[in-house]
Amino acid sequence: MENNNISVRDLCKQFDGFLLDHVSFQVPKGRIVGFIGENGAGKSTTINLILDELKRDNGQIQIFGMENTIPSVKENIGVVFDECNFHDVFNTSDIEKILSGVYRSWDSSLYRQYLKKFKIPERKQIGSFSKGMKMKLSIICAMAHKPKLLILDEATTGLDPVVRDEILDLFLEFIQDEECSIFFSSHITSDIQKIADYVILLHQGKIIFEEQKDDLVYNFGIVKCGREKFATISPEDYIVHRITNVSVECLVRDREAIKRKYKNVVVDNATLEDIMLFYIRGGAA
Amino acid sequence: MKGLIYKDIAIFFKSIDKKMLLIAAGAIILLMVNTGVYAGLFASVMLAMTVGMQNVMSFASDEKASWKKYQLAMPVNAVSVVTGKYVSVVCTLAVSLAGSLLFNLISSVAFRMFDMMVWGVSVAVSVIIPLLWTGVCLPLTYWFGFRSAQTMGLVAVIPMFYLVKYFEDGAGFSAMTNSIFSCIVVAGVMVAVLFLASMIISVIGYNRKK
Repeated sequence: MENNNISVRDLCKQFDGFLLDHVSFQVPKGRIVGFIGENGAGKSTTINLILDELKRDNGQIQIFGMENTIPSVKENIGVVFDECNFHDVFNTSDIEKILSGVYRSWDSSLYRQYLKKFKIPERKQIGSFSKGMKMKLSIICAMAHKPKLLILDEATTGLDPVVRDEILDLFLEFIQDEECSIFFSSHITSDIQKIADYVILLHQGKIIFEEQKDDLVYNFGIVKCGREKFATISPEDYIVHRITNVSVECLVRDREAIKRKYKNVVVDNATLEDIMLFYIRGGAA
Repeated sequence: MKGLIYKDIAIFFKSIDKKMLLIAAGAIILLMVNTGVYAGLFASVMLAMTVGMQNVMSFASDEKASWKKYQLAMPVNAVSVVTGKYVSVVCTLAVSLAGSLLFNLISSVAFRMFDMMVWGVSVAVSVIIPLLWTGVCLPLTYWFGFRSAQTMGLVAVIPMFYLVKYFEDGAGFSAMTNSIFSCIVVAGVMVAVLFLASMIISVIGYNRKK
């Protein structure tokens, strides 16, 4: 039985000046996988390839154990892009009529429940909504047909912190059913840090790491020391270092072990953003 | 597919440009005033062209909303998407037909002349022109984008004006009476074949990915 809702193997796609290079990862059932990377890293390209919106050059993509090119596979996928794709002249009632005629499992009462919960006006045209309201509507529409997989491409962009928190709680509730999973690409690393089980970092079309979030957040650390102290640290004990004007900073995989080994160095906790910046911007291994 | 048909019909009505509506209404009124007993026919031609254009214009709304990107993530294949669009075009013929009947009624009452031939031709053009227009423009939209269809639509307006001039300045129906019925039948069959071929070409165009 397939344990992954998404399985990507050796995915390649070339454009002018960009190559998605042998990308492989899985999105297991019952898990949230966060997908992070800088602008132009290839996150949206990867998502478009998974959704069969782009033709892949090489590799394999399976969703629910089936080829992603089969249209019926999308019956169980809810998708949210970084912009609202509904026409400005429609209202929520029009959207319901459209999507209920597309998705067999559309649940109108669930849709209206979400509209009420997130205070989306029912009679106003979507063109008059704020950006945040449009994103909330997109998320509601993705969830109202009870999918098994949510694919979110910058879905929380433009939402205020209160609403983002509500939406993230909704996502956590979504995966309580161990069959469901979420593949979530975002620049807001704090959102990924809050809810993801696994984190994948993509940089210039290549996967840099695919790690458990808890491992990253609870084990990784940042050593800060002077240049003389840095000279005493073995290169095997850090992943990457960078030299600033006042100190040297090293990203380490096990901060507790480093604290035990090097008694007189400062070791700080590392956030997901710190880890991402170290890998993308900084320094030397 | 029924969701997509609803979407296309809703867009047809909700995205009507008020300026285009005013221009069409003005042109129809002018035609009705200037063309005498053929007022109903010319008004039908004008409305049919407007309906055809509006079906193509609705693609502008799709492009503005990046709807195709969202649609590609739906559990619908290319045949369903394109067929839905073409079915919605056929549904909007009701507007063209209703308008044609109304204009001919007004014309018949105003000029106190009921000509079955004029009514018949009006009904025929109210069906043929939108199907012809969309049959040419929709594949262009699916292959090359909305702008190319818009340009082609403007080019297609020119023969329409020659047709109007023919009836205004020429012998009009009297020169065509004998063969007009067969012309309409032939035109209808050709447009139906074109419409079906257009749908197939549109499906191929829609399926193309980067």
